[in-house]
Amino acid sequence: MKTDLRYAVSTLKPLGRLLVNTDNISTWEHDTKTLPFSCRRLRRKYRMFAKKYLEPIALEVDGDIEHFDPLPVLRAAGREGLLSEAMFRPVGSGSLSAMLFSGGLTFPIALKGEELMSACGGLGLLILDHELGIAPIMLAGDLFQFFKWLGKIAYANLHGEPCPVAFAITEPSAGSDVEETEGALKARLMTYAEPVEGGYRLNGRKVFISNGAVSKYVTLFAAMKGEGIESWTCFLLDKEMKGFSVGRHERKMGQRASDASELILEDVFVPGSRVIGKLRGGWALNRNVLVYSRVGVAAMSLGIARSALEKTVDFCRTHSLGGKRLIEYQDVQLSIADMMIDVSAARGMVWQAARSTKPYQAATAGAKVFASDTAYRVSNLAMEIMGDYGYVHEYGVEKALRDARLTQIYEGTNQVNRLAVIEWQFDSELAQTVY
Amino acid sequence: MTMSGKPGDPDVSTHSAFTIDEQKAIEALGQAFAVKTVQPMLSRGGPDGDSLMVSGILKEAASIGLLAEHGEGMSGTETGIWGTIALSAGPAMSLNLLKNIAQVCGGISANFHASGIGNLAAGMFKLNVTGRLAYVMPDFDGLHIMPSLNNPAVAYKTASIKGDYSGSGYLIHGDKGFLLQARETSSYIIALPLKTGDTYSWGVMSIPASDSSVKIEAGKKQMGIRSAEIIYLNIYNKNIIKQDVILLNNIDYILLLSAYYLAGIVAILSGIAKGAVASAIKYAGERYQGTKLIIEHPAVRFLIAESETRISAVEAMLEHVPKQSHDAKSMLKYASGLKWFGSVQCVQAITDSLQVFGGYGYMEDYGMEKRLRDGETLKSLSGSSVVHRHTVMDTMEV
Ligand SMILES: Cc1cc2nc3c(=O)[nH]c(=O)nc-3n(C[C@H](O)[C@H](O)[C@H](O)COP(=O)(O)OP(=O)(O)OC[C@H]3O[C@@H](n4cnc5c(N)ncnc54)[C@H](O)[C@@H]3O)c2cc1C
Repeated sequence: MKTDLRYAVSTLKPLGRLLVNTDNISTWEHDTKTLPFSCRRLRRKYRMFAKKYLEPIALEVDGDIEHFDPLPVLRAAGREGLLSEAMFRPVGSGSLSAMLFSGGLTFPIALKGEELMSACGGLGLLILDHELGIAPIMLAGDLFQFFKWLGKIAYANLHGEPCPVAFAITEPSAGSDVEETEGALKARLMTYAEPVEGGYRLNGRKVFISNGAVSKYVTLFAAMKGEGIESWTCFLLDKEMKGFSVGRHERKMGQRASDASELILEDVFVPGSRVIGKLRGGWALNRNVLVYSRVGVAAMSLGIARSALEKTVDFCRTHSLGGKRLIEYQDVQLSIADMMIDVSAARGMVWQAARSTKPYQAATAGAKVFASDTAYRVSNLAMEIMGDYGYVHEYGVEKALRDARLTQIYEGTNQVNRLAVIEWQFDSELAQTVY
Repeated sequence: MTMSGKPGDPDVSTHSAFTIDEQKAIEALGQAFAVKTVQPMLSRGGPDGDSLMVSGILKEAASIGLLAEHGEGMSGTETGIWGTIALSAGPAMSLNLLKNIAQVCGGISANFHASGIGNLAAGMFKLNVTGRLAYVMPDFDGLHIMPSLNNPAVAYKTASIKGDYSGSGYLIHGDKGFLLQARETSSYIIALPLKTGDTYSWGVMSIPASDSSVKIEAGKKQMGIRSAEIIYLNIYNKNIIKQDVILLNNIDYILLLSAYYLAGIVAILSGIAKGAVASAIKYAGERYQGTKLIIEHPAVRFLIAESETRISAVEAMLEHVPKQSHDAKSMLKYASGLKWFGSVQCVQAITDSLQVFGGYGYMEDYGMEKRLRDGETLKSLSGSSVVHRHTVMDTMEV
């Protein structure tokens, strides 16, 4: 007697069958089918790009970063429109319908984040960091800046001249402090701007800046000389500017295809027209950027978790033990089920946060914590299932784990992001109850 | 375990255990060696240190008797890490030394461990072999290892390396993947099922690494413990004469070696985790965010406190290992449980300690990412939690 669910469904009356899902498709397809048409198209496009350009070189690049030239990947991403979606067509390549129908500004970025990172954490970051770099202009730039800079950058990217933008807030002694409220007031800042004729003179240092070396522009935050974070201002710097140089390249555990570099400012003159948003409005701008970007990092984490899951499933489908394929063992199935459930839960949270018209801090910070912890947990499970194969580079799950580990640190450590969840809800459901 | 002294039973020497002072002196020697000789390797070269220095470090360790190589006149054979004295004095000293060295470098400690277990096996079975050894545990195609261990006929069917009686001796063939060994290992001690007509038994023998029947593949890029080697060993029809094969009356000593091997891996993990926590406390006491030292933030305090507690739990389990030695099966059950449970705790302690460093923890220069890579590798090495949970269950009476 047949006892499986699909058979059981086929015995229902026609109306009953209509009410039950019998699609024999992957979770990815199931989830894609729930999306509006324009978002479905985008999701498929990102996946195809990732499969074509990133996946084939992911392991090689990770294993030999010294000989990696990021420009061809950036060029391909630019040409395919992945670096100009902040501007809608015809200037850029953004899909207005995807944004409108999904309900949220960040939803297309969430789709892109997951797909690119599922192919490679490092190459994904190389492309996705650009969204973070231009976010201050998107959120606070005036109309002139918006069209001048975003238009110019989108045009260059679309026409085969990669023009990535990096985002620089972190300083040697101010990491978490520039990510959260309490610490900020006492942050030990060392990058300062002094008003001079026609603009500002900047001095100081930023560290750990993703794409710091490969980027053409940097949105960089500096305080006014002698003042604290309340005077923070965002500047759009050109890498060609005199006195602006790249210092040390960090050697990092994972996400290696994107450089993390020190930026050194020695009497860099920045014209007044390059102030993004309000003078002294940098702290507020930064906070708002982080609200948006954390959902991006959450999606990126989700992508890494998925990559660990997919690699494990692939391995268990094709490797046998004791005459049985691994996937047929109940113990393996239990762990893979856990991984699938974790990934789906993270996707639910990320999509929920990204779909809101106006993302809010508790949702995006919460999604970032959950998705990045999920990525780390799922990669660990992947390594456990694969046993000795897990720590061998060519199978890819140890890379997923190394890539995943970063997501618990950048865009604010998960500790700081937990505090961000509390901060945002403090005056609502966490407020003192008055009886 | 009973030692009958019959042929095929191992040699268990009659040395008495160390005095407390001796123990302290040996442990101090391990610590001093780690700091003076191993530490400088890490400050040179890539994230895993200067790999060209490993050979010299091991040589020096062998000369002062820490690294156990086998043979008359070799100082570590008896009292080094997994020196033969462990057969009577128990594993505590070796486990402590592995832990101490791993606080500085897990990879170097793994070299000591692999070579030591090889030495212990050679001493246990009185094999006529000298040099730096590796022990090749029996390996089966399946998640359940106990049915195979309990029955050599079952083992023979799925063992990766086995032997067939050939008249003059045994023809040995098969391969073993993911074998942990010290650099420049000179011989392999192999425990394997043997077939003679319709009868099956367990046997032990040694094969030199330089033998023409031995093919070794190294160099797969491994996540961590890169100063040790994880190799693929292939033996193609090596004929070993009867006199060189030790036939075993029971598998107690195979179980014991497996248990010590697993406990040693966890000792290394606990050492790596201890080193990570020590670094995290130091860093947290120096790093300011705002006007506060980060050690003042409950978030950071909890990361460290939880790590410390996890390590204490694993250390307590490790200390319990010698107490299991009355019965080989429960010893293996205990060690299998220790391997999966202890690994998880130690790796969590390492990753939490890394988190204390924020972004700096992710960069190679601070050594924390190496600790995590080493920990993750050891966690997966020699049986993941899937296999070991089965072993625990399989060794329990139903
Ligand atoms: C690979 C990489 C890429 C990066 N890319 C960028 C980039 O493109 N642009 C950019 O500006 N920055 C970037 N960063 C910086 C990143 O955002 C910071 O590393 C991160 O915010 C943590 O800061 P920190 O490293 O100084 O750690 P610290 O702030 O020193 O934190 C150390 C520990 O203290 C804890 N802690 C600190 N303050 C508090 C508090 N108030 N309450 C509770 N716990 C606290 C933290 O959780 C952590 O565990 C990157 C970092 C890395 C590693």
